Amino acid sequence: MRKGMLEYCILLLIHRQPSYANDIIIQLKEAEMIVVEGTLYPLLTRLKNDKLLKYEWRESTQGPPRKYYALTLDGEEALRQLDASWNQLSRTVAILKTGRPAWEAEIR
Amino acid sequence: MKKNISINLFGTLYAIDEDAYALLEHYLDSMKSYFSRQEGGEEIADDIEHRVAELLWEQKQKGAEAVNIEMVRNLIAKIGNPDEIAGEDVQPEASSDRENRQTSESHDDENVRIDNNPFHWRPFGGYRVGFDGKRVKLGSNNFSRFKENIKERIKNRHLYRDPVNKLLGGVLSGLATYFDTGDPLWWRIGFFALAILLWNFDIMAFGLPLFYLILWAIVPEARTPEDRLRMMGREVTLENINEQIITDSTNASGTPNPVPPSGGSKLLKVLLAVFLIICFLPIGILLLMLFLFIIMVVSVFGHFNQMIVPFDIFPDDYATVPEFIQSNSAAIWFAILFGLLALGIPLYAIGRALFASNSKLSRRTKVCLLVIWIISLIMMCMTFFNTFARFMTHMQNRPKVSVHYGVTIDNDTIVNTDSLNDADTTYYMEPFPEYPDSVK
Repeated sequence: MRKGMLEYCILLLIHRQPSYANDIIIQLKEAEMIVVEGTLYPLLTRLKNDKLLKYEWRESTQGPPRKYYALTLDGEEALRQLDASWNQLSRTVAILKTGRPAWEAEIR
Repeated sequence: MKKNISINLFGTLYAIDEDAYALLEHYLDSMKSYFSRQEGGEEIADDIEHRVAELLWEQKQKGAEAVNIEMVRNLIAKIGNPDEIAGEDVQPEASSDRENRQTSESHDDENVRIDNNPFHWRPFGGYRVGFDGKRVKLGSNNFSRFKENIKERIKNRHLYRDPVNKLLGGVLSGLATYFDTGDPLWWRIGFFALAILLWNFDIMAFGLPLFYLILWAIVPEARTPEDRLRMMGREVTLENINEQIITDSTNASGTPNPVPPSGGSKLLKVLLAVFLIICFLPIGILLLMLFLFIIMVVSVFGHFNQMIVPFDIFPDDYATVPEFIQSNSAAIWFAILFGLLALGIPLYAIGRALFASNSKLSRRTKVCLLVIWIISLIMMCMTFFNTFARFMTHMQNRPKVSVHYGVTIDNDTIVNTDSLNDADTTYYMEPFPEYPDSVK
């Protein structure tokens, strides 16, 4: 569950703008999604191997060269699907929590 | 005060303390070996290395002159150990491996061994299921209690040679650690006392040193932090390893060599050197003699016209040899000098390669040595040849004063006349005027 969430979050972040690991780490830490940074790297590599992400090296004026990740077309598609299922899920949770139909919850 | 190493991470130099370097290197290595089992693992390890570089860069920007061990520990805590990282992602086989090992170990740890095979070697006691199905404790006496005690001490420990506390090979300090007796000094005292005691028994005189050498050869050295953990019977986990690296480096910060030197074992080198000296010297001398023999033959054939018996080169009386040496002493000394150089330089090179491999000779010295070696080889050949040729002529031209010493002379016949029928009779000088003319 948490693992799936993390992937979703990463895709969301990268969808907003191509970014490199440090950006993602900072934002995920702010959102309190991860504790140790290292967790991110296997995930990024796996997403890249699944052809959801692509990356390019960019020279940095500060420190070593950076890998900038961006979504591929497959990645965009996967994100849309994840979005849909997330909406579905949150709606379900909202219904279950309030015990009312979703549209009613949205009106309030 | 700490020794400082400078490392190059993706094109930027960082000054890093030696202990911090050991920890960092180990961290990156364990990342590599951990993820190498995974698909794309190298890439993950590489990414992490980049991240490390980035964090170090940040520290450098903040004005940190040198990376110290505290910074590396923070960095590791930030990025996380392989266990933590993979804990949230795919579980590689490693963890299940470890569990298996643990269960099997804990199985071993039970002092109870049920084993019906009477031939099974039970060095430290145990149980056997008797005919009535009950457990029978083996050898329940003082000795077995002693064995139980030892068994308790070496529980989980592996026998290693201890490179940190070593004097020679670390065998005794390794044994001290293995049996958990603390200071290896008592082992050393005991060892020497026993060695001296055994010295009086002819056969056993070298027994103990030999035993030591054998242990040195077959017991591995605890070179890595993992080895040292196993040596001390501690569980090999990443936290323990990191701790070990830190204690190692702090323990040994006063000594010039905090990280035990890796590479080939010293024992092997000692044995190899002895072997080489035993082999190389006679072989070298043999080669030299063969070489001289060839020169001899060549020069003999070169003077074939004058020579009759090739192997009659050494006169019956050696009286003329010292004479020759005296008159040619310079040449002979040269020959010996060049011969020593020609033999000694390769020996020196081998010795250096074996024992001082970390202090390389400069290129210039190498070239010089090579040139000297070649020159001395050539000079040796030439002087030997030259001297030998002169020696041959000397022997031929020598007054054959002594040829007939000790030969029984009859009034009528002279034994050993054949040598007088030589073609070179012209050189023959008549030493004894009273010889009968008929001999000629």
